[in-house]
Amino acid sequence: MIRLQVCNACKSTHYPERDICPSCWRDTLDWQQVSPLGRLTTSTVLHTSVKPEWADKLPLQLGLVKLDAGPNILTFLSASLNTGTLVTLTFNDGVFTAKETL
Amino acid sequence: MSMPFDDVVIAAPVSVPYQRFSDKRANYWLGRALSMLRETSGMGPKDIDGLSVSSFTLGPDSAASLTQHFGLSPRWISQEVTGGASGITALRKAARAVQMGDANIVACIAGDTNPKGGFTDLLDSFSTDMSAASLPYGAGGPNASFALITKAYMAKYGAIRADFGLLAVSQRENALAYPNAIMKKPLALEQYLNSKTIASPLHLFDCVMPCAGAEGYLVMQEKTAREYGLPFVKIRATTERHNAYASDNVQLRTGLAVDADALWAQAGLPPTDMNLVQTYDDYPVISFMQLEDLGFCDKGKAKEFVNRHDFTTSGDFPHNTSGGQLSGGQAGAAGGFLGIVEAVRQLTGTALGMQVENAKFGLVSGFGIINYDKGLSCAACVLESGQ
Repeated sequence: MIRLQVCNACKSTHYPERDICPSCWRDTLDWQQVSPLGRLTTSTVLHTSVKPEWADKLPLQLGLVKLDAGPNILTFLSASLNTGTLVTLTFNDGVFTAKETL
Repeated sequence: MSMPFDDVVIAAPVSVPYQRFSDKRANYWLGRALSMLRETSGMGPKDIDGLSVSSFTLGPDSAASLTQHFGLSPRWISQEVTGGASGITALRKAARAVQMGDANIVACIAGDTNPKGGFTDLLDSFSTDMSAASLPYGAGGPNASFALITKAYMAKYGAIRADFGLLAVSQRENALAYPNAIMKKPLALEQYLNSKTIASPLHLFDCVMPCAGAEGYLVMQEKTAREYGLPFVKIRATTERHNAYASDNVQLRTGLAVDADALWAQAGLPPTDMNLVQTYDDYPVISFMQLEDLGFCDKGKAKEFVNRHDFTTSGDFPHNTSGGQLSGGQAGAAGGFLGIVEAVRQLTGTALGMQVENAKFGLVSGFGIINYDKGLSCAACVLESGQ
């Protein structure tokens, strides 16, 4: 499971962090465990970064994942994956990584 | 439908020549736009009673603090926050202020500085979502976001890199005639295709070069423009939209698709009547989407459209006639003004580069504020030569 904000009033799930619920405008967002499952909708191999601290980690596999829980998440990929692959997200050191769901 | 803009016009298009890097403040670049507006129009700080400012690198300053900085005492100010759409969103507000009598002459200016490392600072302070959900993933910035979008667009509509290359190559040809363009060398399709990968499928010539610079124009009543002997353009229609299609998984359409019919209805003209088109081109794919969403071609068919038409200034579909940002450089928020400023020059017969012959109508569109997965703001206007 991963932790995302879920609205206690309308049950919608949100990412990135919001301050009020963008679906119903109530102040009822709560961090909850949600399903880490989703589908890769597009990907890229990043060869340049605007920050020098990334230079020796390039190239990086990135993708956009549509979570079953709702939101889109820009995430690292554990490997080169095809669009449409069913993936599972993990959250470590402040970032998400997606790997193929087995 | 929005009310017409009556006799409100745009005049005095100015471009402060861009520099790759600058240690000067944004205030300098914006100030240079004002001095060029004065040179072009004869209107100075005593005449300007409205100020609209668009800039990412103003730091602690604002349109309000700049009034003292620039010796202005306006009765109307505005600050644009829409980046690549700001040239048109600034126009929409300024034109209504002039139409309603809240200002007589509004100076709309956009500019940014670019010290070495400045682009990284700009991204760090861009938005909460970019900081939280994009930059921690390798800090690719807009390159990463647009790589994801471009790959999905290619997969869905069958576009190939050479299709995007046609747009980039034709804009380079336009830029060679435009004195302010940062890129001065011809670009062949082979070079475009063989350039280094930035973020697949984006390569070097799909990306803009951040630089320092400024753009500006004046908004006033037609009779004022005539009194000062200024060539002008009329505003046939405008539109803007933010955070459209929020539930789309990947951004394959812009908010322009929501409002295109209303735009053309207000203009009273079809897209085929446009003699020139300026789209916001921070990456070719987003120009493709603007052309589709505004109805110049069907959705997903920009690939065929760019192959069927000649996008150079002397071609049958003059597009980004200054070379756009891809060849001209991206001076921060001024990139959102480049299209409208160039369109006003073309429609007043005062092109700095090659002039589009007999240009009567022009379409300008803008797109901005890439947050983490999508660009949020878009805008468009239809302009008519006052000649």
